Amino acid sequence: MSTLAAELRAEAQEGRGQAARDALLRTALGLGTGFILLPLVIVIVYSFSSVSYGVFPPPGLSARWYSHLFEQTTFRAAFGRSLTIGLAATGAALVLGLLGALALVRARFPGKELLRGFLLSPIVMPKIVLGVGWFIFFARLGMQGGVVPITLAHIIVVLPFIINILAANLVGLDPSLEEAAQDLGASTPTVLWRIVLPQIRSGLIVSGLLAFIVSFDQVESSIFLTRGENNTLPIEMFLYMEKWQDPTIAALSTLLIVFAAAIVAVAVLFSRGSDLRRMLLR
Amino acid sequence: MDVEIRAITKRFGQVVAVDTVSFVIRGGEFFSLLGPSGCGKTTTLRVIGGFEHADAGEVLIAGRSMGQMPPNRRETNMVFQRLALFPHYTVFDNVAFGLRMKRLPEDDVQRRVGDALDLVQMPGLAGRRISELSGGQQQRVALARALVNRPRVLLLDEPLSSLDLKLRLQMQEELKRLQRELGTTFVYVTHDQGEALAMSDRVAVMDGGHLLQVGPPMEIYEQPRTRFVANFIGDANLIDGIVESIDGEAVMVRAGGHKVSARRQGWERSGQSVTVCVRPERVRIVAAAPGGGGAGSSGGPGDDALRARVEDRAFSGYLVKYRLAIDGLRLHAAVPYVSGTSLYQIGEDVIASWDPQQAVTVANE
Amino acid sequence: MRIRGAAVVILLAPAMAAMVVLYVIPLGVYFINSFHRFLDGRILPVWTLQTYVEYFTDSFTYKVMGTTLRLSLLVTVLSIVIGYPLAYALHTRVRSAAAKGLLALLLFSPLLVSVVVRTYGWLILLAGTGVVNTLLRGLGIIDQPLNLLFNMTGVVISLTHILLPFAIFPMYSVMSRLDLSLKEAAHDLGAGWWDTFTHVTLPLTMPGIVAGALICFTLALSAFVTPRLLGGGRVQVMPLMVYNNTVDINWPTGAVSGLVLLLMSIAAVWTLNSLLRRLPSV
Repeated sequence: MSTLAAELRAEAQEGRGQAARDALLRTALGLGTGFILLPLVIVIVYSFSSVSYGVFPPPGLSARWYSHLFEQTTFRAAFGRSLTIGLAATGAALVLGLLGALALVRARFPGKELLRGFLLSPIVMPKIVLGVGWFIFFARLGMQGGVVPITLAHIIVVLPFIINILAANLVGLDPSLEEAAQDLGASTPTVLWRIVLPQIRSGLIVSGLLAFIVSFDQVESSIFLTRGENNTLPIEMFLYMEKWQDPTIAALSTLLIVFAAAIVAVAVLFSRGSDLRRMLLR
Repeated sequence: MDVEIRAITKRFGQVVAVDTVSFVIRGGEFFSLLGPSGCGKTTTLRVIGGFEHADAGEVLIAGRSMGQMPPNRRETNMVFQRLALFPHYTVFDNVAFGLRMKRLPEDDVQRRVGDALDLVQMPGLAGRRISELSGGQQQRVALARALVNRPRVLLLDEPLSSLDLKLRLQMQEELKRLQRELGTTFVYVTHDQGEALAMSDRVAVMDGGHLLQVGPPMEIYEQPRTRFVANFIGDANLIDGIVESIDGEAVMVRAGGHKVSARRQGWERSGQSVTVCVRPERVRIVAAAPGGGGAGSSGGPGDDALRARVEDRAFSGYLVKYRLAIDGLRLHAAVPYVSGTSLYQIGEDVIASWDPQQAVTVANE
Repeated sequence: MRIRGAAVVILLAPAMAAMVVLYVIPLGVYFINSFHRFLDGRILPVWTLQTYVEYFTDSFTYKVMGTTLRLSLLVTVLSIVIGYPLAYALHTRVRSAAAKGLLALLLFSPLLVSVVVRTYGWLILLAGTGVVNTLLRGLGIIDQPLNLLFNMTGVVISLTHILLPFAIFPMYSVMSRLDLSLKEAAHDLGAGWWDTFTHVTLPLTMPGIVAGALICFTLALSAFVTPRLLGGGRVQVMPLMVYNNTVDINWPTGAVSGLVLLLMSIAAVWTLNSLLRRLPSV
């Protein structure tokens, strides 16, 4: 009888242990998510502060930093530049990356793995090293200023991301669909255009958006290619922040957060939820 | 070790996977849960093992209610369908796992693991990695890992389903031998009726979450209680009709334009709609005398006789299977093949008959 | 559909051309500079190893390397230790796919916003009158504000935050591929939750931990914006040295330190990759 009581007690304890562990893990997840979002939330809150120095909680709310922001033509011009560079670099990289990914996944040739490693290597390259390299390179070519050198640099930065995602998408395709198309008379370009491309639509969208975001975020890889009159937005912000830390930056950051959220909404709308989840959590 | 399942119900969302199922497993028995995919047999097994908690009912092992007891404290061990061998451990470490969890001294562990591997006929492979083993070998390791703990009840979840036919038959014999040798209660889940009939002391047939029939293999085969069981176990001829009269041990059923009889089960009532079940191997065929009629020319007195036409014929080694058509009805007959005798031709008229005591009525469902 | 012969060349040519012209050559030009000398504010285009000698005999070099490695190691360990329970909670304690997707998105979202913005958020949070200090003083845990900014502490906190998603996703990915019946088998054989974790879950999710550590460490090595903005000049890591050297036109020294940084990055990737290959896969 006593052993039965001990058994039941142990069993109850185990049950309580399970519940405690559940609660602990769930709380940790909640706190962790909060921690992750904390800086962004604080920036948004801070952008509505009524004072220019950093104090929390803000003594009052005001939208003055937003109006101050809109008076700054430098930021607007920088945003436009970042947008242009991002779109151009992403577009070019998508083309280069798609063609390259097709070759990497569907062709067999000696040294393919080496080539793949080479094409993906910019990811492990310290960006500051690349930044200086491009600085010297374009200086020697006499191509300084403007958006072209930066765009060219960004193509190299984002290309590995695109190749990685597209290659993964291509590997998952059912080859019998293409074989059926060929059996029915389609030429190779037709098969690529009509059968392969539509199936990797989600991959194209996600990799394109990721490439754009990565390009938009570049600082040290591009900082030597800008000279004050052609700063990209993050560089403009970075330089501003080295001198002043008033909430104008917070207002700008809030707008950028909204911008990023809009990009995510685009991604969610144009691709299938399950594809996205798979790519995120894979 | 007796296992008693009392009115177990388990739901997953809207789906009722197991619906008020009750039965008793006797200690030392080889007991099978048989049914098609989704019938609830695996869920029932997992409830016994403690991997699922029933929404209603209880599980008693050796008379003690298990309640919410987790698997690591029940006296059961499970052989999983996908084996679940630890890929990062050797064969030895896999088999030793349960013993080490009990913190047994290492000499005991060595000895018992050696014994277990001998038992499943895998001596000398203790140092191998799991990935180096064949499917059959992995099976045995999974068995050893479970049995080394000397469980009172061994649960097996379709362990042979991934093996090829020959290996499967071999392992069936092995399992039966092991069970006899150890005397452990085995609870075995399978969708293969041949497997269940060959290995078990008793079989429980399930469908759609319900328990349909429990009994020794022969009883289930000879006296299926429902249409489903009759169809699922072996082949069956199912003739629907209305009870015309009940006469001693026999029941007369009018089916279509014919009269057939079956062994009385006791629940039949005059005018009730029933199904008569006759196994194909009980159906005897003789050539029909030219001209009409056909009663009484074959078999023994009291046999039912129906005039039929051979529609199809298939030869499968030791049996010849005939498909017979009797206006509106289809009958399958399986006749042992005796070399030298001639077979009936397609289109030929024959008389089909059987001993009424070899046919049973089953519930209509 | 297999791609053969000339098609392979056509597909790979554009990406390869871009990579050679815009990646290999600039890097080559950059590293050539490491063999030049910098004297009296000018670069002498002579071929020499003197710059290397000076670099490796300067104790400052080793101080900077030490700081870089210390920072990277610390941040990597923190990201893994904090990220593992979060990934585990996400995998085992969140039931619905929609909730999993939403949380994954939230955990991923900071990456969509520029690192400048995120670092700025920490600037506000860790300030003397910022959120953290206000909260701690309000709860009575401290009297004087903690010095969390413009030193190693601030950089560690902020960089960990930035790298956390990069740690969580590889670990989650491996966890989600873990066969559930392995844990059930462990339970069946008598293991409680701690034994199951140490004997089954942890060893089999090790590949995810190593992959996460790899990404975090290489990103931490090359971190620039965060140490620059939050370090207050006290956190001297190698990317900052490269930047400073370049701005001072001391390209030779900058090239040498950039090369060393690159080699450290490659060494980390190589070591962790070979570790990854020797782990049992799930």
